[in-house]
Amino acid sequence: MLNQLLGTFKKNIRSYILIIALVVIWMGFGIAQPAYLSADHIQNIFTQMAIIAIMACGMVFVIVTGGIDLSCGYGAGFISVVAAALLYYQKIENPLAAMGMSGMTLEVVTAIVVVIISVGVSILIGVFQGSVIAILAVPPFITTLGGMFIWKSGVLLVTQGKSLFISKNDTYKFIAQGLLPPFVGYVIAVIVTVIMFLMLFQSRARKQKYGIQLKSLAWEISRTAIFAVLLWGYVLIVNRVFEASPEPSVQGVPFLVVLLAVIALVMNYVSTNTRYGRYAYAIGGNREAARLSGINIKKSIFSIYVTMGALMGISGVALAAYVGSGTTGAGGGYELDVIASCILGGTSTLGGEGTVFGAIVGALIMQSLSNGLQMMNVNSNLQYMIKGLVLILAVWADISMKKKKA
Amino acid sequence: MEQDVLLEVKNVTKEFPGVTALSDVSIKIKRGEIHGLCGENGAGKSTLMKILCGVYPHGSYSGDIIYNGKVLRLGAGSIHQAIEEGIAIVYQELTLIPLMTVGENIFLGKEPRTGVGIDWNKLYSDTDELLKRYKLPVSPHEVVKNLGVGQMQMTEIAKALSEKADVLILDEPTSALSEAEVDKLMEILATLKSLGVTCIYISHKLEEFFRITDTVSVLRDGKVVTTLPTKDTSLEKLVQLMVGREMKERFPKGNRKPGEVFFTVEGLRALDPNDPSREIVKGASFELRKGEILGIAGLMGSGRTELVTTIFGEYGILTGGKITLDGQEIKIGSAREAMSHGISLVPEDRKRQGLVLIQTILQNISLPNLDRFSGFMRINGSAEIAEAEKFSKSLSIKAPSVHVAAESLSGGNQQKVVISKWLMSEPRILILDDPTRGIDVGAKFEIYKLINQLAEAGYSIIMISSELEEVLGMADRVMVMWEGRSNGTLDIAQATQEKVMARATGIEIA
Repeated sequence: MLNQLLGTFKKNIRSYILIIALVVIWMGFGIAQPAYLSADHIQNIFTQMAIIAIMACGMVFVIVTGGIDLSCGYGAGFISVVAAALLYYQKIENPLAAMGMSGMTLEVVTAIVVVIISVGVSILIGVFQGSVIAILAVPPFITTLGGMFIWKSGVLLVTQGKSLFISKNDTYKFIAQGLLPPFVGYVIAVIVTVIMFLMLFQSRARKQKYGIQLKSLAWEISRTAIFAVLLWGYVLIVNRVFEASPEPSVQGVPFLVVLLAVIALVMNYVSTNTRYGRYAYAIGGNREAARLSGINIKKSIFSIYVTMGALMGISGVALAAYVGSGTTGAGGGYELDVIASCILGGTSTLGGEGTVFGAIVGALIMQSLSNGLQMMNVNSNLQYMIKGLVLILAVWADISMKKKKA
Repeated sequence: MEQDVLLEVKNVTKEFPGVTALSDVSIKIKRGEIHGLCGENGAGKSTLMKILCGVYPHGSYSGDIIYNGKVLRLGAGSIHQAIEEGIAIVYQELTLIPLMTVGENIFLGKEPRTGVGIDWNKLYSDTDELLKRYKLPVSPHEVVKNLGVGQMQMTEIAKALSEKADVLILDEPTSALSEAEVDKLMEILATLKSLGVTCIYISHKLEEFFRITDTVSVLRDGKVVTTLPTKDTSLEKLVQLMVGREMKERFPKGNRKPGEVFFTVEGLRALDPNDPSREIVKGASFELRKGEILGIAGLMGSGRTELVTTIFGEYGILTGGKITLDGQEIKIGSAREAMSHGISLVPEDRKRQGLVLIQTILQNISLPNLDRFSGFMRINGSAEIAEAEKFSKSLSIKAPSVHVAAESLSGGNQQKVVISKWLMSEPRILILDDPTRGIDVGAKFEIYKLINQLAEAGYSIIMISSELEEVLGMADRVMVMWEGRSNGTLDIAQATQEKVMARATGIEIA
């Protein structure tokens, strides 16, 4: 049985090599700087990566179809300042208050309306860019390079050169700064674990019904079990179970991490189990064959950029909540981190290949490096250089591994 | 008087896995002559030319090429070496860089230099001299994309001649030229001949041989049938020599009874979507019966592929004619619409158009058919796998599982994947565009059997083939295309290779 497990593992070595790299990075920094593996840091690192990782979930599809989105950094920045401006100038709060709302209700409803408007604007951005790319056939690189300048201007216009502080709405800030009460974390962990195992057995039953050969049960169970252990490990750590007298204010799973997890799971599912996802891979793999297979390429490409817009909006909303204000430099350069995460996670810039899961791990690796270097007091000016070299190294390793296989 | 031999091909045999492309070919090319080379598609003309210009290096074939009295030994990847030896080729596809000038193209890779920079004055004066010497009416400073096809061709010729070529190979130079341009080319060839350049002239347009060549060699099935002075032969004789071979039992005979006509195409006309000034289908008509195999024959460039991809809704801009299905006129504007009418197309180039090579057999087969496995959102992955495995089994695709990448399969199995993909969509009409291209003999037979089975099962098949023998061996009726139009449909009983060839070359017009 162990042999079988090893065999399956070898076959999927490329998907696990990233995780191995991640473990090595964590161990390395952990030994050099024990604080790296502290509950505080583990809680933070996932929150910090979330803004990039959410966009990476959409960027994978964009790159898989052979495109690119350079505008998502300033796009998210623009959305963040729009949200901040709505709150700062009380554009939503005042009319609602006039309708007679007050107190906690007012705060919650305001936050919800701000989120809806912000994400709505970002979807419009996606519709705009998607139309230009799909219908007017302007190359994605050019369209989104233009978008990058446009939304940068947008940021400056909205902020008018000053930071717009979100001082009055803690509900809004909860999106990025809030921790779920420990029991909620446990409930989620229980539900997810049960669902994971249910899905495993349901899928096996369905395959059996269609007479498809099943993979080894031991392998599938151990794989699911490993995920469950990681999940529970994380929840227990951030709920501070292993600390003698934890402070209640730091206990709990960050809301933003749950949001990221949901988005990642949905997008991962979409990538393999829906036409939307499958068409994206086919278009990136061979556009001509996809066209002759009756795929509406314009529609596919359009909807991918709209999705990218929506995810950019969610990131933008989270960014404003995380910083607690809308700033003049919001989102600048994020697009590069997003693209790097995807590529590090195995997305091919030639199109047709890439996974959401890989992109998330890629984002986590980038964040782990940043944080580690920071904690080791490496000159912060050097950090980009190191990240850049790691990216080049990773892609080179991937290319040479593929060559060996061929 | 016996002219001396400049280039001799001596007992050359070239094999590819599963196919013998050239077998014991010997041809003598005399100094200063224009030597025509004719043969059906796949007769081995291109392979021979590739040997002459070093694409297939010395050692990858048996036999010798004797050039100027010495054995020619071209190393691997040594196309440049052939040019240095004085053998230059002008390819069928033009290989010029559109945004550069004529002069820049001619001297690409061998620009005259002044120290580190390019000596532009010398480049253009040399170009000018070259063009004048061979009487080529092209301006050295013109940007190539502004030239007509004929002038591009002249630029190609000038480029080939820029290095003192003794032998100039022209591979179907007239396939894209207008009548006037062909006349001009003939003049240029005559000039070249008077200047002592030896030419090897390959063409599908047989009448051209009689205008320009001194000698003609006929290739068939990788063998030289004959070499004879052009004045001693005739058009009809050449056609006969090209196709005249006994039919072997290479095609499985089906047992089918074609039914009623249910699909017709009448007077279809269409423009090239990339160049709407060019008409690519100039009036094509045919009928299709239930459960029959309709062959479409025609030489390369006769508009066969353009016709079927236009019918499939994915190529030409329709300007006239109509398509009817079950008595109702239909309009097809995209592949999806064609599919909804029950029309499927297995395209000509399976790697470029048929498959997503990096994806698995499963993903390829189900690509056009995902709707049938999908609810509102979710694809029923298990149903998909089960269905794909069913097809993989019934077409006996040789692969460890449906989860291996299409790129790892052999040509024949790749083609079966493409056919599976379209069978799964449950078509009534299956269009196969050259389904056995680049497939070895054994796999071809399997594909033939499969096609017969499909016709017997009631599918109506339209089959294009570059091999005349294949069309005659498989089809119930043969529609012949010539210069973008249908030149009559022949019943298989009365269709002979000579008759089809006569229609395909426009000697006989329906």
